[in-house]
Amino acid sequence: MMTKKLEVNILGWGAYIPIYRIKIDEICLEWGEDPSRWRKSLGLNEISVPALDEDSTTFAVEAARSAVKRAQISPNLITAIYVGTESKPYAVKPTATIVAAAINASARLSSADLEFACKAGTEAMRICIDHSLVNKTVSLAIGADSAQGKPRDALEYSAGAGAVAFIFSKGVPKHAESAAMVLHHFSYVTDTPDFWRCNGRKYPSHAERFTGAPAYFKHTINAAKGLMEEVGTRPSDYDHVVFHQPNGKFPLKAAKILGFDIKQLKYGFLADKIGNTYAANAMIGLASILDNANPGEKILMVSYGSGAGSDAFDMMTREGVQVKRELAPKVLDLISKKKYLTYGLYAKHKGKLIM
Amino acid sequence: MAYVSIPLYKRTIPQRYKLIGLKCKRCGWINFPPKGICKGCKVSSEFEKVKLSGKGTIYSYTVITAAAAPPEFSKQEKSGGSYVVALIELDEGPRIVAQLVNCKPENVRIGMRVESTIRKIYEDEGVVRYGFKFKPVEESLK
Ligand SMILES: [Zn+2]
Repeated sequence: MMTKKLEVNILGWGAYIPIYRIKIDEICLEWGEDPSRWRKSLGLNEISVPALDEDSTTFAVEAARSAVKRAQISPNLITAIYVGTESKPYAVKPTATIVAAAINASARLSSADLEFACKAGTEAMRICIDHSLVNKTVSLAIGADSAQGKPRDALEYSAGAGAVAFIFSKGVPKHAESAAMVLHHFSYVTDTPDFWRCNGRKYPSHAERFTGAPAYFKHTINAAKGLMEEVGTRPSDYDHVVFHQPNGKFPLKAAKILGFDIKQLKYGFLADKIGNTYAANAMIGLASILDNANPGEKILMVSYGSGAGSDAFDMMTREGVQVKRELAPKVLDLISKKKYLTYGLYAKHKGKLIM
Repeated sequence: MAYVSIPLYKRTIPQRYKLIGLKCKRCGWINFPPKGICKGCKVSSEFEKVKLSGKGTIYSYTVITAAAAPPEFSKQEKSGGSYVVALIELDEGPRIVAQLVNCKPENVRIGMRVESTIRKIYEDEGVVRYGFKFKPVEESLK
């Protein structure tokens, strides 16, 4: 079955990764664990950490500002801003309105924050893509998180920090140019309690061994297969593929199960360098692909959020991608600018140690 | 820095988040933070809003240590140690005072190029007060 193409443009993209990192080895040293065992079992080397004065909102603003620079549009053309995050500084008060004020968007705006664990960012994308499609306007979708893991919990070894923003439009505004086109999207969602955080709790809980086969793999694979079936594509049709990366192992296994080659993961696979950036995770991979791809290349992105669900997107780069990538910091540049923290400083940065 | 009420914070969001200044219609002076009477000609109160680039140069700086941190920044000093406050000359002319991030005190130098970034300045009455700080353009990470 071939569905009608959406043909919604990506006008701009922007990522933000804080400069601080902690090495997996340093966390292991704190808890007396074997570093090589943890590095190997998670497939991670280091994770990104916020500065003391950063949170998911400041990340979101920085990413949005870069996306606006690349889109080369006036921010008052934006008619929708949706932010996916599970680490908002306020329980009630949207991040989206702070972003709107900071980028000088108009007040005539559809906006909200979304929560769906690590899938909230791609759900923001879906809403914005559909918003642009229906209203023929420009929209801004953001995934931003500064994720928390309980001290010594497996999540502490993988929870990273970062944000990413995409600007969509149906048609191309005057003086703007398209970087890529979203052709199709497909979602797959079931009620699966693999990871959660209860009201009022600081740290999330997870169902240990339950996070793999019935959770991550089931949804990621069904969404990818569902999309490719609907569109009529095969893994070999894609130049680039990016999966949600809760660790450095799952995405490689998902790729293998689906029949993708490791080479197709080249630009989007970043987990080993920054950890799991939650709602920003797969989308930062997409940003990195746009930083590197040639025009006319096909991209498949599949997110995953616990709870659980996956969103899959079929996209194609366009001419504008090459010029635009020079207009804001690239993902790999953000990754390479780093300062390492000791566990003590890391604990302060993450608010685990309240002064 | 003195107490800033929530209504005053809300009113000053454009200057705090976006560096919106006021350009004097009489003499062209760019007033930042916005003023009632132009700082340039000292007579005009007719302005147009301008968005500053957020790029500038360090004109002077000082390192704030424990005893010198004002109350709203004492929590920051306790967690992060001493921090740099700089007098920054913006490319559009105004000189403003702001914290410098991504740079150790010993690596700061006069004439260093900096650009604005959004950060949590402090929290009061349960409201996070976001605003600008500055970071080196070529982030010296030594
Ligand atoms: Zn004047």
